Amino acid sequence: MKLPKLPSSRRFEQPGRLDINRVNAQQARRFLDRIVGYMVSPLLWEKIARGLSAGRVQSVAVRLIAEREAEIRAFVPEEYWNLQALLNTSRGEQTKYDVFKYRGEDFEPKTGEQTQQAVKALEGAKYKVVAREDKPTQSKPSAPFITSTLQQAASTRLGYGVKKTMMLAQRLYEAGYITYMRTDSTNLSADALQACRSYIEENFGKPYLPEKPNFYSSKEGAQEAHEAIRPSDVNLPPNQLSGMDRDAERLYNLIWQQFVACQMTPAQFTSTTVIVGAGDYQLKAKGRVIRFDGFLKVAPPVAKKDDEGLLPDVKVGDELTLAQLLPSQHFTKPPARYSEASLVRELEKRGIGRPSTYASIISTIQERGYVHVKSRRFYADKMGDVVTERLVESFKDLMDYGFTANMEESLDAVATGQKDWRNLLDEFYADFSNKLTKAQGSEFGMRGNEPTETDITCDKCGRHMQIRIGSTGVFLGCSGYALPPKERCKNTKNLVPGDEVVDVDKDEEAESRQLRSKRRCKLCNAAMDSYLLDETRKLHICGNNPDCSGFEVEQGSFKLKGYEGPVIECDKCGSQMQLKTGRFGKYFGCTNEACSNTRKLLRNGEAAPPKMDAIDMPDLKCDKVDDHYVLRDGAAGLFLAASQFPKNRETRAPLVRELVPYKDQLDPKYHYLVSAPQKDPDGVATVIRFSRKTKEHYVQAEVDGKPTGWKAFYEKGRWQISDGAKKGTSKGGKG
Amino acid sequence: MGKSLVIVESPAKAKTINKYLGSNFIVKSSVGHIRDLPTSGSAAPVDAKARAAEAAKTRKLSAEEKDEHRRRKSRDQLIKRMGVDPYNHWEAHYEILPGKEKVVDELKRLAESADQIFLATDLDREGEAIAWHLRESIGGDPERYRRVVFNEITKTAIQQALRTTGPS
Repeated sequence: MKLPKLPSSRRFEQPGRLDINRVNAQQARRFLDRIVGYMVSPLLWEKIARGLSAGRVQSVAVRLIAEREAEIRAFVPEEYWNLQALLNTSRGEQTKYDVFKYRGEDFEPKTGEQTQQAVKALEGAKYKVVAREDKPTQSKPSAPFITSTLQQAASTRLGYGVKKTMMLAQRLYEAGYITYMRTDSTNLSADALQACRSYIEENFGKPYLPEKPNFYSSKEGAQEAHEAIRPSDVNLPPNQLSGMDRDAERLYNLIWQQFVACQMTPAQFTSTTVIVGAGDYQLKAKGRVIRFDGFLKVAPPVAKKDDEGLLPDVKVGDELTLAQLLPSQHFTKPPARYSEASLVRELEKRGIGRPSTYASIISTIQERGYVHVKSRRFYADKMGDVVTERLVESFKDLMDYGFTANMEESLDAVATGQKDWRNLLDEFYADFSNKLTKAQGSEFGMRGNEPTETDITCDKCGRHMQIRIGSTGVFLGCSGYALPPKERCKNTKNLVPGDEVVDVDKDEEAESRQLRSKRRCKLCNAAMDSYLLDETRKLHICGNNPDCSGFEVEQGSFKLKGYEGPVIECDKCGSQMQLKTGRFGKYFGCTNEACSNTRKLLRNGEAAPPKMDAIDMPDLKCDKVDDHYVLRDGAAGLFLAASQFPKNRETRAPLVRELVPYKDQLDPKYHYLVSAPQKDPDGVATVIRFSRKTKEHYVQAEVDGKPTGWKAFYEKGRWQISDGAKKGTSKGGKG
Repeated sequence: MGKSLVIVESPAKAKTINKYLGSNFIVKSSVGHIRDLPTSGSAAPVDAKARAAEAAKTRKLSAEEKDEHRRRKSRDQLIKRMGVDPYNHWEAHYEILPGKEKVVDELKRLAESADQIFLATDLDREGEAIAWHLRESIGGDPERYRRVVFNEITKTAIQQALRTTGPS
């Protein structure tokens, strides 16, 4: 079969060949990331805390969040007031005006008193329209989606996280509904443009179709001429996808609307400004009336702004009457926290990362424990601050925004064959390994994780406690920790964060209000974080800790909160048990300090059954050490353990006859074990064993720790013998 | 014309492409990456005897020599763990990802009986790299391989992509 030869695709000089330059660019990226991750992380373990990690691009992204966090805590919200007036026309139409001028100057009251003065003056004033301006305005559709703008729109319009958006987009792409979802180009193919223009003309008519197609310029350096994200078939409406769930359909709808809208005509408005004079004051109202909807026909605007809507038909000289004055108090806002999507936009603006890496950057930084997302906004964790600062000090280039962006460009140059990948790696490594060696040194190396001294006394030894930062958070540790073993005090105290997370989506000024409620550090004026120490003490730690040593202890009566998990009653002392996380996973621990009861959290989410108290067996000597046994009940049934465990690491399974003298202390549920045969027919002593499979105890005869095959199981209230030794062939007759 | 093998990275993508291609094409997916630098879980087992022999050699060294030896050894171990050697022309040690052996074996088997192998992984650099790893892992005559790229998975786009990259 002979196929017609078509012109080769735009990009490939050799169609059908693997482009080894692009492969090498990808290898170089992989190697760079690996070198940084594998070589810097151990340094962090040594200098700061175990279990930390560094990443070439991730650490730079965390830096953006940590710096924003520092800007927020340095910000002091200032009070200001707004004054609005509801004015009626002679026909009774009411409009809201802003008071904006006082004697020709901007009216910007800082205090309630200043505002009250204006209120008094305005209450008796005469209101007259002094100016009116009507002018035509228009609003153009935005470009078709690229990866970052799609993530942004899906976040604000649909509330999707970056990961979810990309997962749904990939599903749509793989099912053939949209073009490739990782792109930074707003290009549209000629076929797609033509199809879109026909669709618009047929469905909306000529006025909605611009004379020439709309073109949108891509950012300079957009990677390898892709296309924008658009529907594969513009004629397929959003509700007719098959095999896609509701979330994917909504994302497709967004992509479809953006694409069709981008080839439509602008929306036309009449924008009106009315200025009203009242004594020394001037008031202003804005309005906008739509004349032609244009692209808004397919992509209706999300939210109505304040300046939207019709203003009453007033003329210069018209008199208005005051209905109500509305003073309101406000506070200036600190820089906004990043959301996932706005962080992607920031990374893109700075040239860090590429469409194919945004989603993984966003999820990696959250997994590493340096930042977390609450109410869809990023918060830097203390450890994120510390690690970022140390890395910036020791690896200036690596953590530099410009350097990271240049590296992306160098990788692009490798992909187009303008740069050799090994040279790029060598150049990077020469400088990097120098910096690494220096950072490893003890003299000019990376600064450690030094604790901050406090005057809080240790309740175990009376020394002072120190503020320490661990990978799990901020805590108090005794200053006696570093002493030689005999004097050492390992006391630590958890600090329960006392600040609540605010939701800026519901209340724009929530962040300002929270900042105002925080104490300011006496040393550096940064906002302080508060932690509950106990019911009577609150600890305020400077947000710039550990660089600033400021802290304050507030006395009072506080309710310990912060724990919202499940609570069960302790079977030992009746106090509450809370869910905790330890070395071996989650468990319930008693909140009563004198009681050390714990219960494991089982896979099914329930607490393990209460453990039996250990039974002391003073007459039963250990086999190997000078100690006696206690009988314990563990996850694997009853067992004997040295009473000094773990100093004496000896455990073994108990013999039936060893249990008999302690029957009275044994939990009644285990009394059946005492009635088990103490010997097999050959006179071999029987041992109590536990089957993990059936979760039941049974007994068996053992010689030198090896089963003879003789077993007994407790079934239906009596012991049933199963003699594998007699039936078996190899071990018969032994013992 | 014999059978052609088309390899993509995702089963969903394989399903869609399969709809548009005739019976002389077999579409298979690699289910993501198949080969990468070593993961932490894939260390080679330690040979106790070799280790003892090594220890015997260093026992007689001077303190400085021991120090130097320790440094070199930890560097070598790091390079081994990383799977890429900055001191040796960035020589890389790629491994089939744990759990992917079966997928690779099946692709190899199918590749043996195919006249042509189309690498139809995603069009970005990551896709290009996956295509390269596939070619390197499956092996055989490089002339049998064709890289195909498309921006959308539609009948026209797939057929045109296969045509422009077909035998020349």
